[in-house]
Amino acid sequence: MYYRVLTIRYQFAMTAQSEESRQIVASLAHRVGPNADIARIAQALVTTLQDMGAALTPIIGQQGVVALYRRSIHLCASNHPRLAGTYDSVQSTLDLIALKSVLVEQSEADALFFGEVLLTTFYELLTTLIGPSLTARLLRDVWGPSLSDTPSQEISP
Amino acid sequence: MSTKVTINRLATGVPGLDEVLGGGLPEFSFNLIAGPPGCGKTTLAHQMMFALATPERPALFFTVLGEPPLKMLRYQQQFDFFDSEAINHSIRYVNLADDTLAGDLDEVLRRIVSEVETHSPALVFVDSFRSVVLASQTQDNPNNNLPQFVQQLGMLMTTWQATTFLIGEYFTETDTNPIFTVADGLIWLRQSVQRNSMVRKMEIMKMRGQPTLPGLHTFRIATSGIKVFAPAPLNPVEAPLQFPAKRLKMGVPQLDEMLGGGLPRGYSLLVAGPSGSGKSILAATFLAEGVRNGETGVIAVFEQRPNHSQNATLANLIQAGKVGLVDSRAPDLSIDEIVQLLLSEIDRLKATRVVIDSLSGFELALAPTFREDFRESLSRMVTALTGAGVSVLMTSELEDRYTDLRFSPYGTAFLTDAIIVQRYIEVQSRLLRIMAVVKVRASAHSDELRLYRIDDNGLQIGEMLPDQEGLLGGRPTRQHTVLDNG
Repeated sequence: MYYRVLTIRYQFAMTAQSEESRQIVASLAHRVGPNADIARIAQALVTTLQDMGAALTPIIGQQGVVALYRRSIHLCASNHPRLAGTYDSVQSTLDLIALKSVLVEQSEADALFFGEVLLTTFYELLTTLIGPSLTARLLRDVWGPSLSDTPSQEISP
Repeated sequence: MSTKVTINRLATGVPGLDEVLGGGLPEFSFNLIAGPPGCGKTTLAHQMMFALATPERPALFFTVLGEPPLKMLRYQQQFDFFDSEAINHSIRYVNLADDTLAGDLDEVLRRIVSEVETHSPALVFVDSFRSVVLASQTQDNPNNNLPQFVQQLGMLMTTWQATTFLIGEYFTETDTNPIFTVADGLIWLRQSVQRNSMVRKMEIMKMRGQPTLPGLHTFRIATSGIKVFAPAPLNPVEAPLQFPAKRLKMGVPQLDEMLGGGLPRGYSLLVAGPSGSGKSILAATFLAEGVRNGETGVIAVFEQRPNHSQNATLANLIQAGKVGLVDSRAPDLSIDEIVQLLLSEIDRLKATRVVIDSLSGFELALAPTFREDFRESLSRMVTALTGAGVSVLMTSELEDRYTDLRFSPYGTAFLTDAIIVQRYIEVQSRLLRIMAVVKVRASAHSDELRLYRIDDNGLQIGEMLPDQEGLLGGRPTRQHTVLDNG
């Protein structure tokens, strides 16, 4: 099981290697915490999406956020056919309760992978629309607090 | 000590706009930016917002229906003034689409007020206000409460010490829109289209308590943002001409003699002549002579291929930085834009001599919408330049018409202080050139028609042709004097 998670991690790292995706993956991992059971993974993804929505809704409106979410789901499904079934079942609305109920039926590895891909895709989609600096600026607080209390790797001796 | 209220004036950060507004934007004013789609309303609002917003004096930008905020952010980023770091710091966007869709103006007002109370912004923008108006009309209530809404919004924003901008479109100027009454300022943006040319114009229809500059002012939108071309300020106390006037050498000694000792400083000189008569050479000599005497100059070239028409002397002077080149091939120029280009170059080089080569090219470079007012435009340019204390030489293409004696094709001769005219004449199967000084205001000058030729050293002025008459007709005849018969 653990081996499989590593393999998926490796695959994922090959597809998205930007600093932002590393940050998103690290942030999600931090929210999940040390005991990665499926409920915690699902909860971490849902709260991350909620925080992103909270950061973006005042600026681009509820409808804008929903549209971005739907487009992200669509892009995920076409880029990762293996998970297409999962994406299909959560499609249409930004219903986070429905999302959660779909996620808890997955394996931990799949759910984590799904979450990482979805968040990264959402982030990159927004980047193509309003550019990297503004995207980073708007979503800074979503990743920021969770990362600030993790030890920085640069400080290693 | 004065006990009257002092209205602070904010620098808008839009080049030229503060001048047009009559000294900046009054603080706590309630303004409307209006105009048709695509005329630059949102850009103007953003440019002012990024210039004015600080963490201590933040801005709130309410997006209502209309341009989706994602797109607005996407496109506004293309401008240099856009600073991502300011977002959510000194600038906050608030989306009101859902509230507006419901059509309840009271609710929209409540949302705006609550956001304003939360963030205490110094600047408030509502884009686009038209959506608010439209939404209010969808209500079942026929007596829509728009006037009341505007009235309340204006009152609340001012008491909350916020300078406010409503951005709207499609308003007709004659409309008795309640916003017009309540607003302290009306900034109207227009796009004037004539044939293939489009010129952006701005008008300050109203700005309470401000000596705004009346009329339409052209502006451009570039990556740096909006730039307004305010008319050059006229110096009310023009420096009195010194007597005897200091005279500038033209670089052709015989011509200086003909002018009565050179061109009086601060004069405008029109050199009119047919194609190939040496006007540009005379202009280059004029600038070169200035440089020889330690002066600097500016030349405005309005030709399709300016590099090809330049002579070597001039090119070297430009290369050496002694002469500034104004070579705007931007389409649809306005007179104020050209004057501004010239004045900034004059200022940069502390120039004393200016050449416009040629008026014909200048007319072509102007947007068609300005050509009808060409004489007026020219007059303003000459006034602005001589007002800046420089001496101006303008060349003018003159169609050779041997039946009439004209000095410029525009009827503009009276605008200039001095005129030199050049003509071709036919003598003994040769095409010769003659030149005369027609006018030098308040100065004695020669009345001779002198032959001249052009060689590698420039213009060489020769003798008169005393035995010929009818030179200005182009086909002189030999005088039949008593001596000939005897």
